[in-house]
Amino acid sequence: MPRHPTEPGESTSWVGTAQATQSSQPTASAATEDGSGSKEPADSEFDSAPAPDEASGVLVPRDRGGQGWRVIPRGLMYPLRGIWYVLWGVPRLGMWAYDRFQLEDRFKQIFFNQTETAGLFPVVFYETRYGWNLGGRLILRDLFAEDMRFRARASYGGRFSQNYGAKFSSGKLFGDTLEIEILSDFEIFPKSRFAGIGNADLDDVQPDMALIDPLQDDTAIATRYRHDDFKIEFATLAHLTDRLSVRVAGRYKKRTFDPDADERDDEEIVDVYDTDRLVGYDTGLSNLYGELELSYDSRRTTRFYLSPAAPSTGWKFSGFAGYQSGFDDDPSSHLRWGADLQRYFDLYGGDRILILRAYVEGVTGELDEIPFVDLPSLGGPLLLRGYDRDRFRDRALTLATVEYNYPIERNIIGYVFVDTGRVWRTLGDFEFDDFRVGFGGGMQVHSVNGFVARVFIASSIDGGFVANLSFDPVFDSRAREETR
Amino acid sequence: MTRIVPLNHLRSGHLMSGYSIGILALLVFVGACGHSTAVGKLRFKNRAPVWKVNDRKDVAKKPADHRFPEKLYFFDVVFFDRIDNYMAFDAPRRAMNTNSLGEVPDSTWFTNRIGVRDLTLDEIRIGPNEHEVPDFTDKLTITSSKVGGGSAGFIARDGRGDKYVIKFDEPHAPVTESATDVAVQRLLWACGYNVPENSIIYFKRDHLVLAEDATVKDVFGNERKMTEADLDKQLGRSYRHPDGRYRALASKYLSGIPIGGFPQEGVRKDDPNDIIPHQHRRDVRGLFIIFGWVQQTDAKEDNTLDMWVEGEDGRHYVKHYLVDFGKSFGTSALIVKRPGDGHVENVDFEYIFLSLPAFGLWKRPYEDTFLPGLQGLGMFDATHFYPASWKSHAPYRPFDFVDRYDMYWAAKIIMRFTAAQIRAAVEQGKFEDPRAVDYLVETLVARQRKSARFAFGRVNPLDRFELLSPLEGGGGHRLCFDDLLSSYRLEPGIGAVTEYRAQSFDFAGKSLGWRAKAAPGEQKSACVSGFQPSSSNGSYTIIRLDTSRAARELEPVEVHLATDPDTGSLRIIGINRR
Repeated sequence: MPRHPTEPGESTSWVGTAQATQSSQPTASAATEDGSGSKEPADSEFDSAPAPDEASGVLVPRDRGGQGWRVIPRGLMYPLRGIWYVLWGVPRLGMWAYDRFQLEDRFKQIFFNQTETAGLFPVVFYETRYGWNLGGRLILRDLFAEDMRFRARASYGGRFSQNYGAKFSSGKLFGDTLEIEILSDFEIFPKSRFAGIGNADLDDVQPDMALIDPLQDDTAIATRYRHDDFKIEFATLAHLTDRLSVRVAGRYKKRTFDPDADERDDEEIVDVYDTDRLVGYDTGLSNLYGELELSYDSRRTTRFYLSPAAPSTGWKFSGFAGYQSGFDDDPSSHLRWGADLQRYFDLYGGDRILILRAYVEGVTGELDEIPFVDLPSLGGPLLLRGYDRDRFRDRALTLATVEYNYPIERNIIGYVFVDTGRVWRTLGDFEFDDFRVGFGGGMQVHSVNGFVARVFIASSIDGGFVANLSFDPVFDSRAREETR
Repeated sequence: MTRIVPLNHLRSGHLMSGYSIGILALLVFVGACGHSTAVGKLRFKNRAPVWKVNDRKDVAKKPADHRFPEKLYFFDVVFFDRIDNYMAFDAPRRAMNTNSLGEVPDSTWFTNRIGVRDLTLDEIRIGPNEHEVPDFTDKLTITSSKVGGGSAGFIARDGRGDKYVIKFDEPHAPVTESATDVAVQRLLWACGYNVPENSIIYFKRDHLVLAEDATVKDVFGNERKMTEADLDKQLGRSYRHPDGRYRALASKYLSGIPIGGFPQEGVRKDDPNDIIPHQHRRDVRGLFIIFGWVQQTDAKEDNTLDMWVEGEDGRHYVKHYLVDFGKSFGTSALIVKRPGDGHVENVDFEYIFLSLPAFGLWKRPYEDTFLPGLQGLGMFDATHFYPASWKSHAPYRPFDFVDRYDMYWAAKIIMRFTAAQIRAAVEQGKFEDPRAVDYLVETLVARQRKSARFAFGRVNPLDRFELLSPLEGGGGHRLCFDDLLSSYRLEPGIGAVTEYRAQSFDFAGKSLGWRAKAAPGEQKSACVSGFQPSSSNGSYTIIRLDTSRAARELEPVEVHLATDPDTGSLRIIGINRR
């Protein structure tokens, strides 16, 4: 009788008794006589063996594979499979070429140095409602210290007709605590949006309508304008602790405005608004701005495998204040201030996250001393989603967000949100009335190391749908920079 | 596919509620009414089961390289093939390379090792390695940089003149990939697969010397002279043991000429020995269970390698290897932060479509998996291991065809490992924290039993048949067998609710009138006695064994017997699992 293992790992051997004559077990010809050797069978031992397809020893094959009724659907599927092959032909050819010609490596070989610390390469991307943007970038990494980098870019199209910029970061040149940034941009925006100042509902242009004085009349009509911006900025970032940081920045900015906009489906600004009353529009702007920002960020992931682009828990607070002063004809003379409070609640597993956010921003000064482009604005992919970019402007804004994130795939999270906010002439006018509400949902793609992109579909209590693909993290408190 | 049906029908203790009794009574009645007592049509040749097949006939011309276009491969398996395979209406079919017992004969793909004999611990420790480690006596001579793969490394020649690929661990996961690779390599070798000779080495900087003609190659094959700085840069990215030595995986070059991985579907048309479509090989399909056991989720063509080798007498043939096991044991979770390793494919539409509308309310099966917190270990446990729904990183075509017979075959092999044998294999990974070895052994044993419980529960797991001499006084023959679910004690108490019934038939399927009953014995074995062989067709006799388990009828097993013309003794010539 065979002896049997009883518990895992105790013994798995079996020993036939002298009575045994035939067994379904092999004779273990590969083993040596004493059962201790590891000799592999020699080639010659196989010479007299049958061919691989004759091993089963069956007189009649058990099955022939794929016969019978399957012939019918298989035949019917041939045309569909043909279409399937054609449909996927181009992407498959692309994948084949990618491998065959090692395109990724060739891209690096052509556009980067051997250590991949210096690169000059083309970039192409598409932004909804603005179109294609084509250009190139220069990147120099780890220049004289770890993470010290210089980046320069030039691109055309999309939100910009021209876009040039350069940025230098000191990385760890001064250690882990202190970082310096110097950046400069020249950008031409041919189709920026303006819909008046205030919280009014969007209206249509009426025949023989007089030009609107935006400082007195909050009538909102969607218009476009063009502006050319030049900026140079110097910033110092000090990491006081791993959570607390201070940023001091000084910036010179020069802007000129032009009615020759790519208005698309909207009106040209000069046809609707009295641009004499839009501060800086006719004269252009030239000003200095200095800002101090204090940030506390305890957001973190609670599982080691989660991307830092999707924190699980923690607080983020940032408060800033700055002053802008104009040169020449620029009447700028105002204080800018704001605060952003975010709280992440880990509802479950580190990736079911409830995010609450309260954001306030304002400028303090006379309305005729504040360039219209520097008025805090709501709408767009970052602040008050569900509305077009820069849909609302005024001297102050408040925004509250509730967002729920949940996992879809390793590098994809889904989210649903409700944003509510409005702009105010002053925060003293605040009341729980006439708030705008946007809502929607989407997906965020990130890598193991950071944010990649967000896409969402949103609507609002005022109707309409907004779809957006954004390459900016929505809860970055410096999103306000993107909107101006 | 049949592999996603969970095993839940054999949980003892859940069987005898009042409600269950009623249902079971009905099932018994229906089963009894509809149960066939005939035998199947399958008949075997009167010959001993084949344990070797000859796929070593001379292939004088080297078969063409099978390229691995990585992006196209993954694009196809993730998107294109997924739909195309549905439209192809491929019929499920049993594996084509088995012998009459359902076992896999020795070939250039597979050699029966632990499946047929007890491997000594030393055999497992040594595995396929001719030498334990490379010979450092005359230093390790670096000949070039390593091209391909994710980890850093280089090519070196040891004192014996053998060539090795030296690979380092990822800096953020020291010990992990190298230790895992070697441990799994030993286990897979013991299972029966061809694997390269891998070992863990420790060395100091002065053990290395640059060959005069050492080169650095880029991915395009461009070469330049390798410098000491290149070597130091590689070493700078590598894990060092606290005593200052470097640790690496040394993988000896396989003999022969590499011709790429074996295609996951079909055959190599220019290899006349390759006549069984790979997706219909039991040794390849069975990897579903074996890879699941060790969590080798990196199943892809590129992790196989065919070598055109020269045999003993100058003949050439193709030998088939499995390579690169460092992503087993859940290390992907640590190395590339893939938490659902073994549960989710890289792009898993099933999970995406379930997750999207669930708004996070669906708790995915792997969510409570944890990192043991020991150096060298990934997210690897038994609690969250579900053999039925285990997944590799990307679809692997042979796994689409896995059936319960393939899984049964593979589960039998892994159940042959004792804890001591598993430990012997794992220790070869040279984990630097001994607790890691303990953890892995415990986990592997638990997963081993979970896999077997699943696989044995999907067939009638009667096995290890032995035909004993006729009883004295013309009392007929005796057939003994093991019920693996019972003999491995995978389902406690199962023996008490199990009964076997036997009948005999002749070649034509006509009943010989003999019937017998048996129950698991004290040692969990059972015998049926007293049958007489048929008097026709070389005494061709079929013993049909029906198993009743807690009133549930399992598919019968037929044991085919015939008289050996050379000895005149009755012998087992085949087993038909229905």
